[in-house]
Amino acid sequence: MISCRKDEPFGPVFLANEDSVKVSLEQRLIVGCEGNFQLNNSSLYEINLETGSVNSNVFSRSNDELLGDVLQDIKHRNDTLFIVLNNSGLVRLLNDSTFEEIAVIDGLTSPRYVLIVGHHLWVTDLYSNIISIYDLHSLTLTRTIESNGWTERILYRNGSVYVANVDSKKIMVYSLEGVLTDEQSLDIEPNHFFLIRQGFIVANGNIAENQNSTIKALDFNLSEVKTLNYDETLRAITTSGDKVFVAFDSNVRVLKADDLSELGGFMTNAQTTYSMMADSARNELYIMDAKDFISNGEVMRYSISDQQMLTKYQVGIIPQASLMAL
Amino acid sequence: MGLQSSITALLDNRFLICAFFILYHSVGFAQQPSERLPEVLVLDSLRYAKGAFRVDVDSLNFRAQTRALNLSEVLSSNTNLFMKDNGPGMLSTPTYRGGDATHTNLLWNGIRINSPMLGTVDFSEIQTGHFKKATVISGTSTNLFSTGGMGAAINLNNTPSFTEEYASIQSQIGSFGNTYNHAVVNQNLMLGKVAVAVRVSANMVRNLNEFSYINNSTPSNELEISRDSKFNQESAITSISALLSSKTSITFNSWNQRSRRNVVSPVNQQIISNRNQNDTIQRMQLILNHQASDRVELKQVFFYDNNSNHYIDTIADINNNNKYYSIQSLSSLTFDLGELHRIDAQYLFQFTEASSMNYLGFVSDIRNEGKLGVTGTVDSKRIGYSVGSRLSLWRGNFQSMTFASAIFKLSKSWSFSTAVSRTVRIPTLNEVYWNPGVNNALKPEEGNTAELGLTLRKNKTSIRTTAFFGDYENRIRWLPKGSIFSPVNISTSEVYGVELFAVQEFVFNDFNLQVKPIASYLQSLGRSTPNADQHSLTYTPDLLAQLWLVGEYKGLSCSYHFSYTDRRYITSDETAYMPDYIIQNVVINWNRKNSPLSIGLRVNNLADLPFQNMPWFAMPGRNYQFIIQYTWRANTFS
Repeated sequence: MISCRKDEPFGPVFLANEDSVKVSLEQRLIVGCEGNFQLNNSSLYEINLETGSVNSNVFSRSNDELLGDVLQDIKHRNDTLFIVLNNSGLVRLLNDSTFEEIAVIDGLTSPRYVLIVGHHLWVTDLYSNIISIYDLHSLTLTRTIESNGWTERILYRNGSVYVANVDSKKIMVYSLEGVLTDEQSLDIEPNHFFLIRQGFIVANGNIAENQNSTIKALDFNLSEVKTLNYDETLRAITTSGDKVFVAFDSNVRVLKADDLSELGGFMTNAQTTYSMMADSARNELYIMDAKDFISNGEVMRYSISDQQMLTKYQVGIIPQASLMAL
Repeated sequence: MGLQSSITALLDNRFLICAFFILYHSVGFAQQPSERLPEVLVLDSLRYAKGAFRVDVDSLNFRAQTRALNLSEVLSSNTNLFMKDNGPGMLSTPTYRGGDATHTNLLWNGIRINSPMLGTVDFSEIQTGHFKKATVISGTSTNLFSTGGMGAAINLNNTPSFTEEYASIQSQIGSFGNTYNHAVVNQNLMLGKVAVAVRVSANMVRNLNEFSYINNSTPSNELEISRDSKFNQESAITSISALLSSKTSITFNSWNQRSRRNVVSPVNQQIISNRNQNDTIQRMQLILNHQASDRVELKQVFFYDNNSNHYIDTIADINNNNKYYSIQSLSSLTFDLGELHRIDAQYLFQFTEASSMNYLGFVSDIRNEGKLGVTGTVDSKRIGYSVGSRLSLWRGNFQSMTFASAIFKLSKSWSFSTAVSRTVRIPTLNEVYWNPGVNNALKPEEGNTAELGLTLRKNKTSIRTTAFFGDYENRIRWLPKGSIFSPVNISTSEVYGVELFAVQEFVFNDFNLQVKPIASYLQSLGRSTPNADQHSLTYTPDLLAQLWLVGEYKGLSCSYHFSYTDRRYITSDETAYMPDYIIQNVVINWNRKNSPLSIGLRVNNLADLPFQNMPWFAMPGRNYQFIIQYTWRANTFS
């Protein structure tokens, strides 16, 4: 009888390129890869923007553990990274240099985005109908707010927390105590929501293939300043300084943030633009290419001024979230 | 715990009472000896292509190796189909020669019963005790029956017999709180001058599936027990055949089934889920056969399928009842061109209406298909051939699918065969209408398949090897665009490989030993866009290897089954994979000659190895099934 295989792996095996994580002190792009639903193959990549080296699967190699299922968001505060894992129902807190795990907030239903305000962590959710607020000192749940549906991106400005409620097509405004102080109805689902110097940018996502897209500029009172309609499907959107970058497949348009007037545009080599991040200091745009969604993706680094691709880096499956870290 | 709950469930159900009631009437009827009738071949008039690959798994309800197994279990242990199995009580779909689940057609007495919404069938929901035989044919000859069988088609046959009378009741009690009960009756009678055969088959499944497993997503590999994998099912198939005259027969089949399952979460998912699926199926067939003249045979089949798949997820707030009904009319004409050649013509009309919350109401679909083929033999019957074309019209899209196959008898023992075919799969209703993600511009998937075979049949030796090739384009993939998945014609693939089926029997006085190796090796390469690199297709093992050793001594039989499943890549650039695994099973059965009682013990996963067929879905370790079957044959009645 054959029985000598009990100690061998019997679940998914994810191949990593290197064994140890190099600690980098230079400017880095942290890329969170969503992975495939239910495959538990989310991954975290670190790109050293000075040397161009890529540290792959940094979480798994630092912690000897899988990161989780469907990475949705990354935030950075001091020396801590907050990694939101949607289908694992948890937020991991990591050291931002070594990627070693500091703590885990678990028991969430379907977390989407987080916001760190003071010593509190706000978490929006797809299904739970609540916004959860955790105390970061004790990592305990201190308050929940009824949200009436799917809450998505969450921003902070001037003592108020702004939450995009997709189901009710509203921007909800809360005090830091979690009291609803204002709300603004929209005629689109606010899948994308950014804070800019002059107010906010809100846009709908890909509700269906070939759906038209709408981008709105709002002032700080959430009043509409300008609306742009496109008969194309918006793939990704990001902001930087006074610019808004909008991707329609491989076509990237650059808009002026305050009035959404078009400043220009360029074509990229991306097969499947999935998300973007702009770095105003370097004047660079990072385009996350999900390829065919079941193979490794790429980060394409573009110069905004001459609209040329500078280089590209291979990362994990479905690069979704990113942030710049020193 | 598992055994006790199994016994409780067994005693608690009323199934056995109903089954005995059926058998009581059956036996009572049989005590009036009925007139013996010749076997009427016209009832089972499915004709397969000459020379194309085919494998039969017969006597499903009575062979110790196949009793009390669902279709997924039977096919994965007797053929080279690889089942993508999410674990006990969960979805199981096939892949064959690199095809998707939607590329395997499931036929019931020759009629395609794949869901028009999903394009697939859950093979774990089909209990093989209802059927006499399952026949697997490769994509090179599936055009004989329908479009879409780019990988394979499996035909399930439950035709009543006019020459046998039997009643059988079977009960299984197993590990994890699982029970299975089945009863089948085949009865002949005369209504005036009309000979009638009735076959009734019913079963009930009560599976708690409370098995322990290692949760390998936790750092300490914790031992956990599956608590949310319940699967319950009742199903019945009734068949009535009547010989209206020496040239005309009519058969009515009815299949009713109700299944309820908890949809288990993958072991790595920490969210507490509460997802349930309730499926109800009502299928009816009316089959008319008429021998219009010495040369002309007519066949008309009407088929009605009413299907409901109700999915409830209280966490995600989903309560969606996906329903459809479908009507098919199949008209066939066979015309003999002398003794050696025959023309087959066929016209199939299918109308489907479906509803789902994701369709935003009702949608309907009409398909028209035709087939024209010639089959025959030449050169003193040393060469057999089938050639023809299937035509399909769907939403203005016309497709012609040519097929041809031939077999050459090289000697008394050796034969060589070959087959080629062009195949097409029409998009499913979900692919066309599912909202969000709807894509009205989808085109059918297309493929070309070919195979070469060499067969040796001599005394107690049977060896068949097949080399195959497939080339597919416009394959449909659901890809996320932002947060929404949408189907697109995007990928291409090539598949080639070899298969082996062999049986060697040894007889030593009263001892009979059968050695049966089954294996396939394939290389499957795909690319997601025309310019992308080629990599192995996901969820497709290169090597599948099985060995059956079946020893029989008088009434005692012992079967040992070894199966090896190679690694399967789960990403399209080969950066992640599921490891290979070996499973061994043993079946011991006792059935003394002429005794109606049969007692069996099956030990699954003998070595108690942890394994996963699909990522993060736990599979059980060593487990046991005790099976008792009591069968009355006609001579027992009188």
